[in-house]
Amino acid sequence: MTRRDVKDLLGAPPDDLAGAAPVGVLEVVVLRFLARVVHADGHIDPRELELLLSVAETMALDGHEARLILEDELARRSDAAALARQIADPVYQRRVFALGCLMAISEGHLDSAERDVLDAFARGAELSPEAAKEILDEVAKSSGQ
Amino acid sequence: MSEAPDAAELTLRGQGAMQQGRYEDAARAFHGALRLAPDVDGLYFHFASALVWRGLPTEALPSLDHCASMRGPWARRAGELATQIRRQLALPVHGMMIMPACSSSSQESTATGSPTPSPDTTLTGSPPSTLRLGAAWNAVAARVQRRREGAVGRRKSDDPT
Repeated sequence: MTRRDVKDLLGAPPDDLAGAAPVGVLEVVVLRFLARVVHADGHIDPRELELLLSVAETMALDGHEARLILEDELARRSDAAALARQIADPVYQRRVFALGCLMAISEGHLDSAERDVLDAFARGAELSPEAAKEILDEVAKSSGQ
Repeated sequence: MSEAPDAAELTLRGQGAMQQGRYEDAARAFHGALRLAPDVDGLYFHFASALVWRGLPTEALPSLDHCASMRGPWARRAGELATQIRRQLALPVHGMMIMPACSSSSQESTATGSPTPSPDTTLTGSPPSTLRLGAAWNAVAARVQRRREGAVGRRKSDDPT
């Protein structure tokens, strides 16, 4: 098959960018990170999936898009450090990390797999272990853990 | 022994994977196609698109910028998508080397010079990220609260006194 075949397969560029990217690029990063946390141990129950979808809704992600992204994330786990590096603002990195901590302890305990994911995100965000622990402790304290 | 797939087959695989929401597979397929057909600008766009869906928008930008610089049929959409991503990531929009000269509001630049500033971009700043986490936080916090209340309720029901 020739280069012409490749071009034919791709067709003409679209009239707009719909479908080329999700509406919320950063929101997808956040959703994938949260899913990565929840799915750290390889299991996810329907309540957790429902929570992820509700979180997606709060971030104004389209429901269908959110489901596609979550299905993909559950099938092919992202590198949490790589996700962290998508967020340029250190303040937002910390906020997203804190949200991940809250998601991790939402079931009442933090297991080693979830901690590994959080640690990876912290490394990607260049959060010191001390800073990461401080955030985790603050989240746990504020949520009554 | 089967032959290695060619660029067209890999392109088909990538398109199929995108339709099925298998974004990493799509990215890998498009990347493979690119290695075999690096002069097809549309492949850079599709590779970048798969990366964005995969949650790696910053890694998509070099492909989009390259696609735009090739000034082929996909240049305009690549430039627009790169701009959209940079805005959402709160990155300098003028980070692209070359913008397609396809509209009166687009930036013009040379390979060595800096782009002409446009009203909606700056050389030093960019629109702040609009990532909203407050409502997301509340949703998860509410879940934590419900779990705690459920645990307290169970303790009370277990206690005969």
